[in-house]
Amino acid sequence: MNPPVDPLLSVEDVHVRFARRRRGFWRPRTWHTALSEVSLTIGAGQTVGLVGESGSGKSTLARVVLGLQPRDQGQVRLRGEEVDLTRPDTTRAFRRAVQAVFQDPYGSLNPTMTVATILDEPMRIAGELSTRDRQDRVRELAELVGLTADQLDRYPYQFSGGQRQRIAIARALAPAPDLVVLDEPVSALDVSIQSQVIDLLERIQATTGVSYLFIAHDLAVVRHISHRIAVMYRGRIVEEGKADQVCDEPSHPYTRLLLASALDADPTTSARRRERRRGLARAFADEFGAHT
Amino acid sequence: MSVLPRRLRGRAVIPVAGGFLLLLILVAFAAPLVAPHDPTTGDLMRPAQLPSGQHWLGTDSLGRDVLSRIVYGARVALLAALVAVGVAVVIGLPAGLVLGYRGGWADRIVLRAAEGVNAMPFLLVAITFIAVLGPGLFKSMAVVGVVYAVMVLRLVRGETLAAREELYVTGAVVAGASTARILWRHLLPAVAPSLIVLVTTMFATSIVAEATLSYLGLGTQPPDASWGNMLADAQQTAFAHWFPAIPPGVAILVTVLAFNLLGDGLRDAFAREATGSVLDARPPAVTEPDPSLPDEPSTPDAPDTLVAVRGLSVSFPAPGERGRWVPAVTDVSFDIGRGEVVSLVGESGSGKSVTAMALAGLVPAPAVVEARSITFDGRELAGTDARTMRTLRAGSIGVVFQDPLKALNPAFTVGTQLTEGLRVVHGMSTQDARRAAAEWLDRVRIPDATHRLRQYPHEFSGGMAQRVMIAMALSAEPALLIADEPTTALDVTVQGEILDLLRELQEQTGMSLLIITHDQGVVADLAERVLVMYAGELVERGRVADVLTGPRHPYTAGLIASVPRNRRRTGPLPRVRGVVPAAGRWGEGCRFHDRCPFALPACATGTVALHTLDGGASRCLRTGDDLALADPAVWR
Repeated sequence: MNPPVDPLLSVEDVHVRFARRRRGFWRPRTWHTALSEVSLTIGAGQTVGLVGESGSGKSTLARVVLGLQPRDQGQVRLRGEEVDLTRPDTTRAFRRAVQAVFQDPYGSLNPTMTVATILDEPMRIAGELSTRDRQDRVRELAELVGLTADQLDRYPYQFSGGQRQRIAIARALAPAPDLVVLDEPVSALDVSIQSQVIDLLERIQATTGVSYLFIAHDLAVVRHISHRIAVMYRGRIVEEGKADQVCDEPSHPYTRLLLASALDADPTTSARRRERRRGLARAFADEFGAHT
Repeated sequence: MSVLPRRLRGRAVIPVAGGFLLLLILVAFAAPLVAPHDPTTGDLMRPAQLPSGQHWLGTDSLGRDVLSRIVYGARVALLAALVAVGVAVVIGLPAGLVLGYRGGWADRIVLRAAEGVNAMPFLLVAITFIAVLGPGLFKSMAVVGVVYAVMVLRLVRGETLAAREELYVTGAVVAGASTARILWRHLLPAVAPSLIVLVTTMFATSIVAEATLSYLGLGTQPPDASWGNMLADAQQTAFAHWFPAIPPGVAILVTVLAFNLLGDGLRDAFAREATGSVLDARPPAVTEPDPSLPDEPSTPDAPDTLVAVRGLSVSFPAPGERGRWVPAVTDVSFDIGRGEVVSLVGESGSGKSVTAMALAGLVPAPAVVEARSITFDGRELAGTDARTMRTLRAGSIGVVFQDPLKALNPAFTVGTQLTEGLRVVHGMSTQDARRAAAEWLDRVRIPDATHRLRQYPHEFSGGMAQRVMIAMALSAEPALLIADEPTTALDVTVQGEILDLLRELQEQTGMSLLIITHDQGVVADLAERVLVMYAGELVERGRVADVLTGPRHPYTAGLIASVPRNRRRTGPLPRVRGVVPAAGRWGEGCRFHDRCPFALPACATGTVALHTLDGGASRCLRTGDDLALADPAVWR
């Protein structure tokens, strides 16, 4: 595993644990380990894909990267400098540099704001551009994600899921960030719309050089957009490597099971794949215990 | 609040109550001009008179004009309410926002203190404070305001607590928004509707509070007029002169009523469309057969038909527009053979779920479900009553939904929910039902069944909960199981196991299975025949092996091409251009023509019929043309 030449953001040996609800006042507190010894590097202009099942810790890791989740141990570095969100100056720079797009395009846009206000807000907060420049940039962003000028005065409820996700992407790009964390950005979208959004993300990366942390549960989707892929299982990164390598020659049994579990739209191969999946699931259960 | 006018339309109570209050405010404002007499000086020679031409509402015991005192009293009442509500909002709103957003120990301490204040009788608190501060209108209403601030705080804190979990709030944090900005721009608008309702009703209660305190001599001091001290004056002479008590009483009553009606009206206006939807067994209405529509599908592989649907249409009332209907499904016909596994595929908005739910009689009113004919096991369902439909559904149709943890009731154990159907519908004894339930959990491979029956849904993982749902649906031994996206909410590694289970149970029981999915992989894995829907109509049907390897409709081909595949990538990803049109906005011609790479000018006009082909059908004008449907380059 050769690290990227120019690391933008790195997560180093991060541990996060959550307190479980106490069973009784006198009982000792127990802990659920959400992340354990997690290290990850995202190179400049690169896309790192992060896959894993629900509860594997991938969303917690996303929150760590976004500075929303306190850590019990470990560090996050942006361009080599430790991110300290207790200091206002580093917070300001970090908040501008790292943006996010979430899975649910229905909850992620404030329903009382127009699209123009939504796109304007991050730039207003950054406070670097004049009102006129911001207006120009809002129009530029709208054009970039395929919205027309008259749609800018509309409210989120007037758009479909795919269109809302474009608005969310445009908002994330507004302050010209270095990294966008995409938490399941296409999972809620129709297949015919998924490729459009992925294509949009790639075009933006090619022109702006932005990096992505792309989180999904579907390896096939992740493979198509990622340079590197990290696989999470039970709070740990169990495999990390070049996208094609992870998908073609998976080394960890969980990655193998994940790949075998993806259904194929070809009915002639689905029966053979089914056998393969069952075999791997049995082998996996023998080694790690049943995970359902 | 640009949504306000639309929501307030058509509610008579708001303009009536609001109009009255506006008039009251005007009168109070212009009191010196409106009042016929001075409110504080009276003619002691003419006390306690009944209404006359000179004194419309008579005079009080000191000979003062009652109408003038009512008018000036309105001034006092509104001013008092304004002070109390103003103090309440100024203290309660920011404190509630900050505590709700920040939480922590400050939140806990303030909340306990607020509970303490709420537990004490309101008058006792007010009187104690006034005893310290001394009587007077503004002082007493400020004390009332502080007590009300606790109510505002609790409401705002609660609403903020819910709103701060919204993704757009997290988004604002990520964008670097200051706490002040988040509170002001993102949380306040979310809190505003319920706050407006509370404040309106608070105006009503503060008018009563002012009257009470002034009546007790703690508020407005004589000789100034207040509705409360007018009542106190009138009471002293009530046995001799009954009339002076009436006008202030009516004034208080009507004003308070108007504020409460306005509050109720606003609450109804802000409550999202939660009224009018009724979910009961809903048989489809019969539509007349149309001779111009010839094709009646047949099931070539399964001559023994269980379900035959002909010309099914479903429409929903357009939100916010009375009398306009939006079609969700139009003229859908298909068959399901006995023991056959059929899958219904399509993207969001295609009408696939509505179609299946109409079959089970599960489309809620006021939607309109119509069909030329729907037969189930030889029985005609179109035009029957709800009772027949309910009986049929209880015994013959089982349904499994997408999100098992939402479909199970969190308040009851899995055992209670699993045995309910067995006891109610099949009349089993509790013991027999529990035994049968445990057997079913075994059959869906849930280990340690008897123990699991005593557990609550939250103790089950998604995959296990879906097994429970399947057991529940199958325990009635239905002839048809409808599975609506049964694996979509589950992890990929669990998905396969659930599909395996469905296949196995289908083979064991010989039931028919209608599986609704957007995932071609699920279709390939489980189904024998496939029905493809787009924009409310059936666009293609056929054997799974034929359709997935050689689609005949361009939409099916585009959908298959878009499925992400785990192969090394070469060039841009295939996709279908454009967006799925919203329900009812389908326009002329083929509903797919503006996204179709093969469209001809003729595709944009008229309606396209379903062309029957050997083993299937396709709704495409170019059926029979030699099109490179499967060429990935077409879809790039």
